[in-house]
Amino acid sequence: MKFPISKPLLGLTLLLLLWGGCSYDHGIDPIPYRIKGTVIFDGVIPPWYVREARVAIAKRFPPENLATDLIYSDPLQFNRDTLRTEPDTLHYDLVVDPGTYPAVGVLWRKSGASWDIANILGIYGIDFTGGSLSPKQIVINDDHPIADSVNVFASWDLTKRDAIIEGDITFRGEWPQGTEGTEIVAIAFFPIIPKTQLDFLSVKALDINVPLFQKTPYHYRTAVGSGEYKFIALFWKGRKTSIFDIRTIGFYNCPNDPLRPKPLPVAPNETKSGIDFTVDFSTLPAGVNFKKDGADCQQ
Amino acid sequence: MKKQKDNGKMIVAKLFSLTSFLILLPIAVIAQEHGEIRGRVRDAVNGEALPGANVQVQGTVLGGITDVEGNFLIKRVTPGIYTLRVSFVGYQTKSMSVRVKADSVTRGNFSLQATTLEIANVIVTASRQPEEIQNAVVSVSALTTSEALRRNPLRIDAALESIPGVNLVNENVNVRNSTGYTRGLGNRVLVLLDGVPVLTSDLGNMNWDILPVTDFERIEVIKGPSSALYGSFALGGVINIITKAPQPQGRFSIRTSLGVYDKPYEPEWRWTDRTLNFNRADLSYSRQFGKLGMRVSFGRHESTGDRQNKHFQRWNGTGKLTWTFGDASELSLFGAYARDRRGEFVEARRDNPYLVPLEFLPYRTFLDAYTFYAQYRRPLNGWLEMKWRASFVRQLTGNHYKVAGDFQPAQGPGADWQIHAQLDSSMSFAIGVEYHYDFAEQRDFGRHFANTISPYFQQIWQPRPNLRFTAGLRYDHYYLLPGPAQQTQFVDRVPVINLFPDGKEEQYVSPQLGASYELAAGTVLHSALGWGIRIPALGERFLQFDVPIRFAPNANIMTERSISFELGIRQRIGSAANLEVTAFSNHFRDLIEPVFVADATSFYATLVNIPRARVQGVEASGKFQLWQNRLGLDASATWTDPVIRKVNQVSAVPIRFQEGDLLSYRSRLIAYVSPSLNLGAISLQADYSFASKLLQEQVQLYKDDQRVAKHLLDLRLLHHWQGLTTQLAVRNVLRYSYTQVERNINELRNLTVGMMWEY
Repeated sequence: MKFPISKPLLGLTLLLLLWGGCSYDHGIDPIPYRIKGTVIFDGVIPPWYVREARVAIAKRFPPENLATDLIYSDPLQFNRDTLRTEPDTLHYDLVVDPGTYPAVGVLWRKSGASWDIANILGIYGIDFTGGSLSPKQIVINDDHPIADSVNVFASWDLTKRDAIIEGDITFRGEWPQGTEGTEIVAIAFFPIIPKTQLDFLSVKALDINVPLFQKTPYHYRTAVGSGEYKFIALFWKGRKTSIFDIRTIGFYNCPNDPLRPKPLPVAPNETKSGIDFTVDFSTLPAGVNFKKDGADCQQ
Repeated sequence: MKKQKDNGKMIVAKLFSLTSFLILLPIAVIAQEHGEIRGRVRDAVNGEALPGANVQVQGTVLGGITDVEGNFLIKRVTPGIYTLRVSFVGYQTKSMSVRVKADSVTRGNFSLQATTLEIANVIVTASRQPEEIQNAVVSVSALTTSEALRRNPLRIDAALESIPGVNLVNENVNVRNSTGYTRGLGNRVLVLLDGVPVLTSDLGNMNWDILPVTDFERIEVIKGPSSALYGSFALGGVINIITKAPQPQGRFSIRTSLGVYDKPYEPEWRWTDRTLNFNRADLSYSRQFGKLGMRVSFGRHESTGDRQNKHFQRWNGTGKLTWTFGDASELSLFGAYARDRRGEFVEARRDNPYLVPLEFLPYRTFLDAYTFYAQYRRPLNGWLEMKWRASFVRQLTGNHYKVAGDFQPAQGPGADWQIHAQLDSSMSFAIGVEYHYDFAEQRDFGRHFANTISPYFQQIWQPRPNLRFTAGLRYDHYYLLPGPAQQTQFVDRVPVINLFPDGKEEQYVSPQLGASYELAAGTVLHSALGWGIRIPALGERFLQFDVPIRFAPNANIMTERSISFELGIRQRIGSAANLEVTAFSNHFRDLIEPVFVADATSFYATLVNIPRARVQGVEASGKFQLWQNRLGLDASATWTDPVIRKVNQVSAVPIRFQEGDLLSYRSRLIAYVSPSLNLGAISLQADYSFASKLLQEQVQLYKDDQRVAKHLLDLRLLHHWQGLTTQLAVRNVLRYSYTQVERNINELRNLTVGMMWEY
């Protein structure tokens, strides 16, 4: 048996070897742009109903769609060990595109529920206990492809759902209909009276179960964390409007001042009933102009 | 004039006989005296017998296959003058005129010249009747097993990409960009196994593991609509995998290969220190024992995968029995089993295309699939033949996403009864009825039954030797059976909503016309016009799930329809070259496409109909043998313009398609070049395949991800020594990375050592 090595074959082999020494395009490249940092949880043990928590980087703020406007990390592997003494410290490293990212935070999700912008554990640059809100934005470009030490302090206290608030919502006027009509309404519970768009980040709980086009009074019953709520309101968003056009159309108000929000303290394991308020669709498109000075209700 | 009158009387007589047969069962066979044709087929150079050559008596349904000695025998031939035609892959077809007398034996011996242009000369799929590929009125390509095995594909779908106009997007096969990427739900190319439909009854997709690469004789690909003959799913074309017949001389073969994956080119993508590898072994045995023929094969395929969740273990087994009766009728029984256990690679992480997000890591799939069929072919006389087929396809797709039960197998029994009449040398037709039943019960779409009954007709008329016309018509009656509005039988599942509790009935008629004209020797002009349909699979109508994302059913999903036209020219230049150029235009209505919808509160997927779309283009292909057959070249290129012509302005689903957008996952240009250098026992081969870059509008997710064109180069070195072929192959020599489906990168460069031995 012979194995002929002909000149053409030898020439071809040499050609292949020479070609192998050349550099050429290899197609898709790794993405060099990253945002990295650490999430530092407080010492509290995560509640049993927390399914997962992830770092979320907002491509736009506020995000219109939580699936497409946020970049999520893998689920954070936080510690549920009740005997541990050190707070959880977890590192994250996310690939991003060049651009400006208005906010980086940590969201949590309840078992069986979808992601909710109200379920925030922490935001880069914000200290919830101080009551001031100024998230720090991140700029990624060729000059600064990697943003490191984007650290977030996360508090499990914000997942607290140890009380219940319930009441009736009465509807006045006609729901906006048709293609320009209602997209969503939600009851929101705030520890402060929101004065700016960013103040909406302070929301402690959100209930989106209010049925659309409801005519008769609707009874809501929402799990919240104990504490004081200074603003409980129903928000409305139209189909063709942006997230900036969310409008307040009704809120829990002082009995003798329909434009002044009434504060509501809720103790742990308490159910506060009769927290009723009226929604008036005739206030659209501007919405209700409520008083923001934070004064108490007049007796 | 007298001769024409005599011919006319003969045709009338045959039609009367056929009508009598159709009306009066059992068959009334006209008794005639018969003769026999015997002969031998050899190689013209070395005189060796050629077993397995196909011998046809032109103008009749009679024919035979040569045995181990190269001998053939054709019985029950009505006295007359006939043309015998012999064809064998790798040899030039040859014809001879013979006169048959009553009660006597006529001899016809053939010496065939080898040809290096490996083309399957005779095909059966284009018109449901045997015909020469050169004369087919539609565009058709045929891939022989030897052509496929040279490329050492690990699975049949990998072998398909060398066929002009065919490309794979993940596991979805596209013929001229007909399918795009359906994410395993539905297909616009009907896949047949020996003419038996084998798409699954639940999702309408194809399990490519059902047959090992060593077990097929050839693959015929019909491009353009073939619904006139094959009904639903043949909207974009038909792929018919024809299994090997038992070998007269007995044959044992073993094929093994071992391979290792290279590391990713980019250091930051290197995710493991393990040596990632794969291996495959296939054994087969085939033998003819007098009238009984037998073929069995077993195979096992295992891989660590080149990334997370791409590992698998596969087993398959096939068996085929044939029995030839004294009256030249034949019974074939076939069974195949495939078992697959694998990781489920949903999509990659953004930072590393070889890793999956943590929540996808536990995903696994298991598949168990069976295919059985029985076919009986009986020549009733020299011009009339009956075929009957019963089949059963069963596939169990296991739990992808680790949700709680239930998963039941999809089951699809079917039957086909056909009469083939060769009235004379210029006219033949096939008439038949096909029945198919679909059953599926699964937690993600409920329990559903559907059936389709379809009479069909195909006529071939050849008024002159160089002019041929075909006409076909099929009627499909589809019935989705009624069922409960809510189904609660599934474990840990909210009730599955049945969107059609009253059932559904649909009827469609699909005609087709075609012509071919031989302008000069070796130059054939062909043209075809056809209508196609695709009735949604059960999964497309009813699928609803929540993991890994929410998928919502669309109650308004409608059947797809198409009108297609093509015009082409084939040119054969002796034994040196075979060329073909075809222009085509396919117009679709209500094309079903998956969409991803993001609204204020949720993100989900569903299916929508695109009212109007068009895929038109040009395809060119060529096969060449040069320099005293030392240099071979296969090349093809298909350019298409896949455009959305009209969108649904008022839709319950907010979609982002716009008129003028390109259809998703369809590269405008695909090309394939395969040179080979043959130096005696050694040959060096290369395959280069190209697909143009997808535009942002052509992907549905992660639109900002980087996309590049596909450039894939494979090299092979083969050595032949008697019955042993050894091969050294490198796939993806350039270490090139691309994606056609979002976050699904192509395979890493890998080295394979393979061996095939036939005894």
